[in-house]
Amino acid sequence: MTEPLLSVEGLRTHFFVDAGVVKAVDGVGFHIRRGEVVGLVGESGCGKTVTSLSIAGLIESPGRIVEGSVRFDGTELVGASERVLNTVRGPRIAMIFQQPRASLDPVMSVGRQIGQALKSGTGMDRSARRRRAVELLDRVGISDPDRRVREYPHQLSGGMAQRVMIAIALAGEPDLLIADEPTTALDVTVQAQILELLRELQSANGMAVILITHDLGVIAEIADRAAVMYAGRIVEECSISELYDAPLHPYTLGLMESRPAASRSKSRLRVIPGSVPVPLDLPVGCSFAPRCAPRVESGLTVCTEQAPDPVSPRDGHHVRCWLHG
Amino acid sequence: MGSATAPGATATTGPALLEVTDLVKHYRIRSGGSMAHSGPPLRAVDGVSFRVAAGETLGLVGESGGGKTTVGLSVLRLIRPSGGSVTFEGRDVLAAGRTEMKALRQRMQIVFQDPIGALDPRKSIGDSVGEGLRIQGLASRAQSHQRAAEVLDRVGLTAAQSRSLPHELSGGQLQRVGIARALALDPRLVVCDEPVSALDVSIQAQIINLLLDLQAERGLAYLFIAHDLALVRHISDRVAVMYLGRIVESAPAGELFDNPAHPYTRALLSAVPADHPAAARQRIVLRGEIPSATAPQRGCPFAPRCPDAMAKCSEETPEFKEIAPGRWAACFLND
Repeated sequence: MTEPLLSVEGLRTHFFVDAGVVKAVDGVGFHIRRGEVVGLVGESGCGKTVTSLSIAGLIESPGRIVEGSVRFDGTELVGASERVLNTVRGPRIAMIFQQPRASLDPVMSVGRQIGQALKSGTGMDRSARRRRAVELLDRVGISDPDRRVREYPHQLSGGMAQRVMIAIALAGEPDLLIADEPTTALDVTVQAQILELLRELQSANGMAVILITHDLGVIAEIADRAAVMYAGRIVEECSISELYDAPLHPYTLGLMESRPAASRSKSRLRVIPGSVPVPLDLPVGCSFAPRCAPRVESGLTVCTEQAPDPVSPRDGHHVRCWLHG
Repeated sequence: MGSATAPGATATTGPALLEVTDLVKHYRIRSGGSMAHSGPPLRAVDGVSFRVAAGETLGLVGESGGGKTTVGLSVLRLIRPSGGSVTFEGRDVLAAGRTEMKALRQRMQIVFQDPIGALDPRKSIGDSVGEGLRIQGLASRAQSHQRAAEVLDRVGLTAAQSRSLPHELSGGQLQRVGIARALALDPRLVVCDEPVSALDVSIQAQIINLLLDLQAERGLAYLFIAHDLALVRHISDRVAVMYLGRIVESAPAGELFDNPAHPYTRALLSAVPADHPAAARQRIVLRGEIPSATAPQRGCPFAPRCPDAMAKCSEETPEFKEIAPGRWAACFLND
């Protein structure tokens, strides 16, 4: 098998604040092949966004990657120079975010913003960039692109602004798109349009996608594999069908069972007790142990003493849980 | 529209606790600097009728900009509707005087999406929860403390937490405070406007269970406004679907989700992400987005985006009428 497009190993990104060390990402490893869609799922504060920013080399003080490796198409990105990062970030690894309007420059026309993304690397002149910008807007499903290219971000609806962000991301024909909650702020109908667009672009361009979301339904729609994060670690990684049909980690199971669709109407939902731990004060041992019902039933004591390493009970299915090894 | 009975009630429900008839809320918009020329009004709510029976949950769904929140605020008269009527326990809410309104507010409460915005940052949680009782003149300081402690305990917060300030609590805990505040006055109806959409998935389920338990214990009625359709299906007895300021369909929850009668409902439901990756679905992808509510309207407001639109649809407005017992829709396809 060929080398994966992206390999993340043993990644630790910590934030050094007055109150102590926030271990936002604390031992994350996964890989993604060309053309693959991986969903990174988890609740707020689990470290999914910090993981993606670490991959893109966008961690700023007081944060720092303290350990680990991010290899993209044969190049190590951790510790790489800005010069190297700039050849990768943007043209080859592009990102889109939850608040598209906040990522767009309010005083620059849509066409110029796409043009800027085209400038680096392509050597196109101004009129060529303008033509390409119109093509890209058309490609992401914006009607009347000749007019839209002259508009400013405040003239766009949320769904249209996200399409513009995708057009900017596509400008460099990236190998990897990192999409951080790209549809969370959108209506469900617009969400369906954007997911459809992402899926279509992904299969047409052979682009790999890391989709970061808290929404399991979005993952089911679009991803090939899923990585479930909890308190700075990936606790389970498997194919989408195994995530739904045979999840192994008690946290994943809890998330699946707490969906309204999993219970009869008007009946109480299954819940995961308690809440996500504060990252400054993570419990000793497995971070999920204080909320884990199966642990209590099993009587295992190791869970509160030592953090579990990943094990693979099934081919391609990895889990960090003492109950499985 | 304008019929004598408000539509949407199932045959089995008793007298309505809340009855809303032909509710209208228009906003005047001043266009481009000229005071003399105001544009067409923004029709946030444009003739909405529904009923909620005691102990029942009516879910209100639709895309943002459809008018859901405006309906919720109008019901409590937190904003003044431009027309129509709101009757609660047989009393005319829109005509109520100061004293009567105060009494009505005790019986109708609201829980917002962002609970911290509704709390005084300098007041302890217990004080904020007891505040309503003191304003209503229902309790002395000591009694209101006692009552606040009871309801906070009921929603799962500790005595120590009742002494803390809002910023010291998590999002899920703050929403429990929001619910406790609504409960303190022992209301019959609670308008829940996106009560869990700002919360993490694992916390959402905890709050939904609390709302279900409280309803079972106290016979509360909910007007449950949310965009998460799976959640609305789970919690609602009946569901009304709003589009551009109007209800286009209402039905018992199971029937609406299993067999939607309006093309907009069908499109909305087909956009919901799958329950399971193998659930291959036929998706009706709606063209475009919800249009502006200031655009002049002729015909069915959904016609420009409707995959099933006929010539008639852009000429005439379909009437919102009963198409089967307990099922209402505004669409010519059901004729």
